[in-house]
Amino acid sequence: MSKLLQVLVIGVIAGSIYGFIAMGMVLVYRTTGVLNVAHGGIGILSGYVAHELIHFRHQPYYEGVAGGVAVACLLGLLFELVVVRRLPGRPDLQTAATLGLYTLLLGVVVTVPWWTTNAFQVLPSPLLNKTFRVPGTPESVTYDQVVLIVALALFSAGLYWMLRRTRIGLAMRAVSDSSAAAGLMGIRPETVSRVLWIVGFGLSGLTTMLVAPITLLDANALSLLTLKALTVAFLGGLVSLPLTVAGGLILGTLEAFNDLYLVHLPDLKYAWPFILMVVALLWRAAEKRRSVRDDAPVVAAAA
Amino acid sequence: MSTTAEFQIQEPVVGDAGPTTRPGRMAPARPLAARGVGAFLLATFVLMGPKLFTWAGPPAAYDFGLTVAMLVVAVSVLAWIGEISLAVVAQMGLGMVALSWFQDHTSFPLAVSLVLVTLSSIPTSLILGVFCLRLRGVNFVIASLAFAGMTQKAFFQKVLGAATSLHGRVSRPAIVRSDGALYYLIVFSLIAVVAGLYLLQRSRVGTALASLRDSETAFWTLGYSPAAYKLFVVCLSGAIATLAGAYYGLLQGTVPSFYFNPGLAIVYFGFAVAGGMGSIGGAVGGGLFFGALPKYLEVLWPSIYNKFDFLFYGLVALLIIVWVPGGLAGVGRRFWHRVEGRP
Repeated sequence: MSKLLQVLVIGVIAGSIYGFIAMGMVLVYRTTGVLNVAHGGIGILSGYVAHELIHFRHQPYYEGVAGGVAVACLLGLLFELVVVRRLPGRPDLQTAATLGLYTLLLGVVVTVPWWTTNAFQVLPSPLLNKTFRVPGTPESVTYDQVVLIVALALFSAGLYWMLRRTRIGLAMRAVSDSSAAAGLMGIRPETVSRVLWIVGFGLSGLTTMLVAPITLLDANALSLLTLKALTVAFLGGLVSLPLTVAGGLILGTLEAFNDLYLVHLPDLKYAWPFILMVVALLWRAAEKRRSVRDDAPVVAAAA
Repeated sequence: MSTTAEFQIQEPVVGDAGPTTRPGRMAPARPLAARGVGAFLLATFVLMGPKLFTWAGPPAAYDFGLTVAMLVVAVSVLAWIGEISLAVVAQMGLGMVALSWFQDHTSFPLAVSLVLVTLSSIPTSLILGVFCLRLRGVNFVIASLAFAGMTQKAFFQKVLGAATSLHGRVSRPAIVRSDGALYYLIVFSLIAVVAGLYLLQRSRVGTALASLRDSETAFWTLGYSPAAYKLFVVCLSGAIATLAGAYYGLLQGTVPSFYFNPGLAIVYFGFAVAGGMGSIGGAVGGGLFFGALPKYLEVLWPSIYNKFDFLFYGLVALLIIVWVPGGLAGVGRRFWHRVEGRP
């Protein structure tokens, strides 16, 4: 029983990381149709900027974090002005541009010699190394992990609410459906687009601030997490925030289950994202068949 | 805006014989002369190959560029059905592993081994193909990425080893022992691939593929099977990527598993976009440019360039995507039209 609880604890922590990263990508995709592949790269750069401010320039932690997120927001503004404005109505090319941006940002990180000399850099949060024991398990949980889980719950609920209830959220959805119609309703598509890219990139920076104290501030590790987060985003159909968060938690739990119960099959851990995709596809195919079956009498009657 | 973004691909030029030539009439002198000079320059460039750049670096740099070009062609071929796969690097790795296996377990000549390696890509391609039938646009991109991630972690790390403990060696047969000889093998394979794809684009199958990309429903209504055509293109792309992997193995000898990480496929996709998605010539040009140039720069300015390779890739790809959305192929086409005196 304690082992099962351990699986759940580890799974929820890992799943929160995947879910948080995927949430930012889903937000941008849902409102622009662009898959922001640079999401991880933006986070990596802002993480290193925060590390520079805190570790090398001895600024207070929260100022360093704010500086990192501000750099991410500034990048969002620049991307909107330089790329999105020049490629209007071309989500395919905008997606390709995020690929270029991802490579460019990784290149920027490598260019600063003292950023990548130490492979085991940690973003020194005030809660670093402070842990507590989960009752009934041998597992210790850090307070940074708790902050991440709470932040995931708050941000997913907040974004869900923002997109459905707030003026800016409704404007984002309106612009994503039809920019011209939204303009006729008095919404300024340019302003909405700018806000959206700033929020999307800022969320990416914030994600790294929350994730880096748990993992490490390492470009390769964070890139790998982003790739897994893409799978999680797929599980949510790239549009559903609740399903994305659920997908992250399921993937994290399955990986933890693999680590603790299937020790003789360690490589299976890497196949879970792919297996989950197959299951999601089969499930969606079954849903489609069911909906076609439900529609059949109506079609027959119409014919 | 649609909630599911489809990658809109640049139209491949199907049946473009040029507006200057009409049946029964002689081609005007300027286009004819331009084509003659172009063919001569191209033939010289192909035959001289790396010898033209010995001042800048070793022939292996050029060979590497050709291998990358072949891989980028594999990415570009999938664009014929409007899809993007990020599993090509994994398929490339499988090509290298397969060639290593054939060398260890059989005594086939290199040519036979290469054919068998290319054919061995079919099962993997069919797995990806099943996803391609069900998914479109970014969903297929993510599926191919998940497949590549699984292959790299669960297979390549075991078979090829990490950077510190390498195994899975490909040895060069005597016939391609020198980089120069290997160059001619790779370049003639690439020419054969490009010529085959060019003919395919102009055949009935190519026309069918163009119509499939425009409207799958219309394609299906006309009695064609979208599934068969899609699977064919996925297998074709996989075969080219696998062949590129075999050549990469011959070039490098031993390759660490991290080389086949899915993140690198993102970089190669950037090359394909910069070359001009869907254009075979653009893919070859983009792959050769982005593959070979950094290798030469590494030799010319080793202390500077080793730090700036990703910066270079990203900046150039971003500039091309934003300012020249048609890629190098679009620039080349416009230049060629001007040379031929076309409007």
